[in-house]
Amino acid sequence: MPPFSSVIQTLSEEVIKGTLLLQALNSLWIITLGFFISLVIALVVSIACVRYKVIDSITSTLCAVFNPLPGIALIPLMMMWFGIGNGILVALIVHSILWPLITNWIAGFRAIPAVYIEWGRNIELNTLQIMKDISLYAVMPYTLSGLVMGWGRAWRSLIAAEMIFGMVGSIGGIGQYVYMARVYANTEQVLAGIIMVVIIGLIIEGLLFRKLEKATIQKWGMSRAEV
Amino acid sequence: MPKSKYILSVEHITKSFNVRAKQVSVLTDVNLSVQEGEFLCILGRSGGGKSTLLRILAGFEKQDCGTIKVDGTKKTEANLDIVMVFQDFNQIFPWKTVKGNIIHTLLATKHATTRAEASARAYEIIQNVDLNGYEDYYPHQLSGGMCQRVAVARALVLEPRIILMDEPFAALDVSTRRSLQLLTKRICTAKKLTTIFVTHNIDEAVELADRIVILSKQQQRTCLKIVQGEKSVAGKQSLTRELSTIIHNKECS
Repeated sequence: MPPFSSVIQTLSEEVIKGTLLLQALNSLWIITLGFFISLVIALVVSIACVRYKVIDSITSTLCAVFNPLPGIALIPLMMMWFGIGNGILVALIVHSILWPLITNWIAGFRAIPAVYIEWGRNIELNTLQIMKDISLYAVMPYTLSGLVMGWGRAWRSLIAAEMIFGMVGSIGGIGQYVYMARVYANTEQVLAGIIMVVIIGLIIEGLLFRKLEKATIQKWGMSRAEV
Repeated sequence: MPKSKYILSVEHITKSFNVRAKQVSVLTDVNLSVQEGEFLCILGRSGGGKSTLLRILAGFEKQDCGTIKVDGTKKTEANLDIVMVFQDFNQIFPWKTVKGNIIHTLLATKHATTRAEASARAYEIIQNVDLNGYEDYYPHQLSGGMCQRVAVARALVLEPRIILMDEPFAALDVSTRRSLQLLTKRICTAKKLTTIFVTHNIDEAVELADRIVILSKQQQRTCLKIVQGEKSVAGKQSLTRELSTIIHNKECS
């Protein structure tokens, strides 16, 4: 086990050199892309579920099947079907975020107090305005819940996929950095990579989501929904 | 088209709900007319169809048959002619401040074209409902009574033809309810606003109403009895006794 000071020195060198930072940014870029794709799909599907029973029934079955399935288990299949590339990682992220987000949003849309929507109808808002001005705010506790849950799953899956399968994407990512460090038996670099994974996790979950929660549902007095 | 004598006409309204595969009749052949500027209270026991009638008037429920006319024109869906104040404290948007709720209403309905204009009008109506100093508070920072004031302000700022109030003060303590009753009456009278106020509280109806409609059900039939409101203290006391007897004995017109 190398001394802690040597791990920190390696970490700062790798950050300054840009190697580790580039890998981390690549992982973050992939996860951000997956996040936005998931948000759009989940929003459309959740609204359709609330409106149409058939879609709701199909989606409930899909959620029950795919939600407990770890994304990493799908990687070999995806590699066989689509080959190696960033697309697989994005698909993995979408799989990790989509199901918890849909589950949360369906519950959220159903829990919107009828008086909000009725007031919207009373002041002659159309469906799109009701969605934009009322529903999206009203489901905010559920949105945050789904995003936090999805982020945790996505981040873990991404790092695991990069570590297990090595260079899945074009640049590699932070998981691949740790994987390569292990191949060359460079313990300092392995630990530096792990610290970077933890730091990014803390920044996103502890800072970004906490700040978002404080600026929205805590400020508005809407307690966080647990689904 | 000649202007109707009444601002609101309810003609032969019937409504039933499907409960556990059984049709339950809530309103049968209800007829009612309301004059412009009138403060009408609908009084009755729980389950008598008061709220259902109000929801049909607002356009939130469709009647099985019958028509609603506003100024002689048939009303088919929810619109800005008739604006509702609900019973629920949580009816105002929690993600907007007091001022924000009113500004949103003004801008969304195009009652104000700029944010500055909406803001000025919001301040004005907030003063009218005695909430100055609370403009930037979020609903969760306010008491139930204050939230209901915001709901009333949000409805009033639209200057609707008719305002509907579905037991808006039912869950408030006695003194808050009293102050809100006085406030509502003052504003509605000053603005000559036609108001339909649903309550199961006889004292509240006597205090507020120009006319009181007692809604009850007898053998699956909706019965309406209409009595005039009273201004004097003695008149109000006698009216309270009369209403208690009517409601207790389920007398029908």
